[in-house]
Amino acid sequence: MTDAPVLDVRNLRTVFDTPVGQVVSVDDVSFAIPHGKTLGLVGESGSGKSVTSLSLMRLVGRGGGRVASGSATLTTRDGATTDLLALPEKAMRKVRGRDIAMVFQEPMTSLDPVWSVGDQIMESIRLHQGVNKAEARRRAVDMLRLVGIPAPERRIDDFPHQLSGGMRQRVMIAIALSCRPGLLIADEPTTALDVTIQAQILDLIRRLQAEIGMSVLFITHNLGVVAETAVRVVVVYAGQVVEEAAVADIFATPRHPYTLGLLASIPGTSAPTPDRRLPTIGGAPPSPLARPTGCRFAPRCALALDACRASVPELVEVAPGHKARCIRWQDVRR
Amino acid sequence: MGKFIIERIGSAILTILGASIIAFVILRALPTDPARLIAGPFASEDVLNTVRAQMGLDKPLVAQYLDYIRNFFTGDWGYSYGAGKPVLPLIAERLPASVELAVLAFVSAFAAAVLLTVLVSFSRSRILDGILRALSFVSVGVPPFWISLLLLMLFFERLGWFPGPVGRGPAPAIITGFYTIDYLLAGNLQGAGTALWHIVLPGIALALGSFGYLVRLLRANLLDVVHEPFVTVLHSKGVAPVNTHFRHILPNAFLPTLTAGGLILAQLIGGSVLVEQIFTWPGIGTLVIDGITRQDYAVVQSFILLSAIIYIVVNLGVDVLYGYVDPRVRRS
Repeated sequence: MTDAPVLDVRNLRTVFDTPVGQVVSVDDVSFAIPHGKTLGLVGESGSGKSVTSLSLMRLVGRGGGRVASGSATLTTRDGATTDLLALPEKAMRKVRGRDIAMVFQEPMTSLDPVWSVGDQIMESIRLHQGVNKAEARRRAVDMLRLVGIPAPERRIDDFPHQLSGGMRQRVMIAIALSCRPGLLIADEPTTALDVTIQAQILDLIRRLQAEIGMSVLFITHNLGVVAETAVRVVVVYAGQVVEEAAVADIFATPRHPYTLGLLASIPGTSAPTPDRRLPTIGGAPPSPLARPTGCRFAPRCALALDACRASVPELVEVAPGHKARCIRWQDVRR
Repeated sequence: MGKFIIERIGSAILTILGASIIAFVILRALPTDPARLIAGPFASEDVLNTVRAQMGLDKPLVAQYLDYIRNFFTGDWGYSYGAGKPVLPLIAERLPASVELAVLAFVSAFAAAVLLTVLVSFSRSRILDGILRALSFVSVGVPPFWISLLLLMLFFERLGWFPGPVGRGPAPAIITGFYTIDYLLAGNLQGAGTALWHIVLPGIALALGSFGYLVRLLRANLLDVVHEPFVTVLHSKGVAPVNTHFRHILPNAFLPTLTAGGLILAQLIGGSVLVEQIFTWPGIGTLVIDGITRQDYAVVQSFILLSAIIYIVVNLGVDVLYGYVDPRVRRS
């Protein structure tokens, strides 16, 4: 096994050409997913985190987007490296589901309603592992058992509408992990679930990660979830990386006001405000069609100066392994 | 699945009974006196009473209804005073002509609509999609009688490729009543070809509207399903686009088309009056129009119940197919 990151993303830029102009959803984003570990990708709705994951899977074209530039070097289990963004579509199709698998936010709509869950798991197994139907079915039962579905021999012939949301998300995970991928992209996998089920699903992903030895790109808007799962965190705002650090550093010494705001809005992590309300970040993210010229967070930032509005701050290394895109990073304090 | 089908059959029987009550009540509620129609305007009250007694009209309504149901299911559908014949053989003689025309028109329209729409949506070509949409708009928009005349002018009068409005062509020895099949059963390929040749123009005239409607329906449903999240999931699994499209998206988008297909087939069998008139097609459409204009009571009453039965049988077939396409229907 190598120490090379399983996926090394450099300067990813994804754009959508719309009738009212070009929208840059992902703007020069770089990060590396450590081998066998979890990287958290954090940001609010519209920050570009889901578009990032779909760009890596080369699936943004369906929504009208395209990857304009960048590279994403995948190191597979056998040590071979490939740039996903330069791969022909046919070769990319072999990567999807086999080397990189995805779990999505909405378990209620992520499964084909007219296929049994077993057939949907077997579809992946047969596609990537070239086994016969009986063997694929046996493996599908094993997967259902692995993700904690009771009586898998019976549930395998169930249809999605017969399962609860939590069970469906388990099935999604079974599909994703059925080919033992080196990398799992989990795009808000617990957002649509009840809190108790959320914890179960997080546990499940963590347990299987250790069992299969895979890396995880965990996409979420919830820093609290990241604390439990990830070793490193990338915070994105309006399509740009604004901070990147080890989890402990993000929580102990955040160096970007946006990260600070995200941390303060986790219940129970900050001192209560005088009116006992949960702190929030005022305002809304800028429209991707009319972004500020300088720092994109400046309009919502309490520390913003004229210099912030003049030009986009660089992402600078503020400590070893800790980067922030803020000229006043030294003044950011918890 | 067995239980599902039995339930559907049970509800179909109830629906037929409902339709029979409606057919019965509507005709009893008409202001015309059937006995007067049969006996003529100058008949005496005695004669009218005799005719009423013959027809059972002097009995209580419930008894009349039970008679009517019993007669219907024992094959006594009454007497057509217009045609001077019992109704059952009259309809039995006409129905195969309508069914043959309707089924061939329907199968062509349905197959062409599904095939073209699925292929065009799979190709994702805007040009092909534009052409298909234009075609479907025109098909839905043109009235069948007008397109019938147009087809006759072009393909019969001008080009002489197809026979004129002469009905079904020479009759074979009747076995099923469907000319194409009867010729084939007799081993007469040329005859079957001739019979088919006579169906082409009225078939197109009849099929066009259904074709356009089905294209629009399926196209809209495919577009909806293409944007479902599970399609993105399929792509993320590495499933090839052709499999995603034909094995996942199509079955999900197909149900409304199947439902509409059933209604269209039933409607084509019973309701192709104008096209039958223009092509002098000897089907039940023309028979019923004659029945209505002559106030031929038994013909109309039988037709109402018969078309209800056709609708219900076709929809029963659709329901059963539904269960095969969509597991949610089967289980609930």
